[in-house]
Amino acid sequence: MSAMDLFKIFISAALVDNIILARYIGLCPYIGMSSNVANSLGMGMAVTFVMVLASIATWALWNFIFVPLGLEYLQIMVFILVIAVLVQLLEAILKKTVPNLYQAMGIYLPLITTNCAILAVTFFGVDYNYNLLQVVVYSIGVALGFTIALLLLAGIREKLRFSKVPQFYQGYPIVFISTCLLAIAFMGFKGLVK
Amino acid sequence: MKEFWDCFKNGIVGENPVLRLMIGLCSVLAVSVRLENCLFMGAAVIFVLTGSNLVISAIRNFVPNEVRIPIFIVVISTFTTIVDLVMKAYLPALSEALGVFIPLIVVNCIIMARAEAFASRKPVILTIADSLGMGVGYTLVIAAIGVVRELFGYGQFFYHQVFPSSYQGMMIMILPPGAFLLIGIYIALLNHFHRRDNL
Amino acid sequence: MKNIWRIALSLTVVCVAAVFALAVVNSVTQKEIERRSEEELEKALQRIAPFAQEFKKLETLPEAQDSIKDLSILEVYEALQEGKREGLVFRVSTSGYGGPIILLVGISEEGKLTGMEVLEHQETPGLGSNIESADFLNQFIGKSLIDPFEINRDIEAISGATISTRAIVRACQGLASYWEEVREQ
Repeated sequence: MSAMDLFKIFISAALVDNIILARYIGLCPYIGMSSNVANSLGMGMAVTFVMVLASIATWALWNFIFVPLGLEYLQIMVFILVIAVLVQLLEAILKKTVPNLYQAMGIYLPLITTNCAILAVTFFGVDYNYNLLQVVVYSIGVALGFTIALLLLAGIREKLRFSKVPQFYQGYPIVFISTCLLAIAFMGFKGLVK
Repeated sequence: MKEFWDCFKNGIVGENPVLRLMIGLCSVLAVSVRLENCLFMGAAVIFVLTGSNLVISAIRNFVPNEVRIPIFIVVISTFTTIVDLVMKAYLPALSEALGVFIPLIVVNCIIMARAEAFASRKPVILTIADSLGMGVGYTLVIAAIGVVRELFGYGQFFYHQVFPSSYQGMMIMILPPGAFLLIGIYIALLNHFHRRDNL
Repeated sequence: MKNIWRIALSLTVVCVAAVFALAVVNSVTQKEIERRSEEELEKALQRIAPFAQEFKKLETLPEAQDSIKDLSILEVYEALQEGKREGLVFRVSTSGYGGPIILLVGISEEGKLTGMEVLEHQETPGLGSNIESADFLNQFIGKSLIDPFEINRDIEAISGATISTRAIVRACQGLASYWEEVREQ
């Protein structure tokens, strides 16, 4: 396994298989948190943080405890509980130790427990039989892709405020139409990793 | 009985989870390439939604308030795992087509939201009505998207060729952009009718 | 203090009940899942090497040569007819347009392709996904491994999906050198 392989994993996680625009995962925060750029940056940071930690934690649990004991059928329950506990812990630790960071992303943390992107990444990390290094690179890639998509949409929505949108398309419909165009643009990345 | 009907209808029309509340979108867009997938996805969601909310409503008086969320998560993930395992065993082709979106039902916001807002406060019988309503509302939306995508994407309806076989298929309908476009148009249509009714 | 006991008790009861329910469901479905996946594999092997009666998985895979680019051999099965080896079936992974393509390729003792099946792929629906179609795959059947597999002369490419076509062709070319090695064992 070379640095090139890791780079491939990273690029395909961030761009080619963009978790939102190509795989439809994580749409709730994508629609909900993209009304302005500052919010979406905070959400992106929080997601990156939790996603990397959660995939390391679930990867270790899976490979050292669940597979050896043959308890694979508890996967869904354990993974979601791990994420929930992790988010609680992070919130408590950040509040005490790094108040600045907590202020920047604290309000987004509770929303993350039911963020399907994080749970999906922990599933994929196990599914693809990645080793620890690959899981870390993969989860950073996915989180970056998530943040990029969120920022792009937030930028568009800030501009949309000054444009004339047909009456019935105001609000969510125009957001989805913009997403459609973004997804078309991201289809251009297909075939990038060979 | 009237109350039962009102709760049921609420999920389909008044507070349709997908089009009105903007939750549970991921699976709606992802699996709606084929109508068959849509119906089974809807059935899976209805099962998990009704099953877990029934249990949550039944034990609502014994659960201490502080730990209600973890308990909800455990109950919901149990039902999700049951669906996942049963599908893998008896409907392997379908389970492959729906892929990660079956396990992801556990984080489908519809279920958590209904558990928190409805099931943890109301009696069992009304909870069943509410869950069924929400589930049917979800299924209707996903099927409405699926029928258009399958028709224009493949020229087929439930795998039966509808358009002439020379029809090439609109690629974009099968790919992610088509799904986003379609749901945008649906919400706009809903806005249109809603506003017209209110005038 | 009393409250803590209540919390602990309710959490424990719910968790034990949940795990118990899952264990019961799992014990029923687990066997069925295993039986089905074995059956599926057996059926696929049968379609690819119809002349064989049974299949034996090779435990150790011979070292691959460096010349095989973008091709990894996942599993090799011996196709046996009355205990005699009549061919080999390879489960290989090659890189397509949208991600890895997993193929099952059957090769007879004379080095002719006896069948081919796409098990997994992530090609673009409507274009690259046509690699699954029988029209495309049947072109390969009966061809010898030493054939050049020239696209649009020997093999008609899928329109709009040259990279996906090339991935399959490359797998066949790559298998040629590998097959020699396995056969001599």
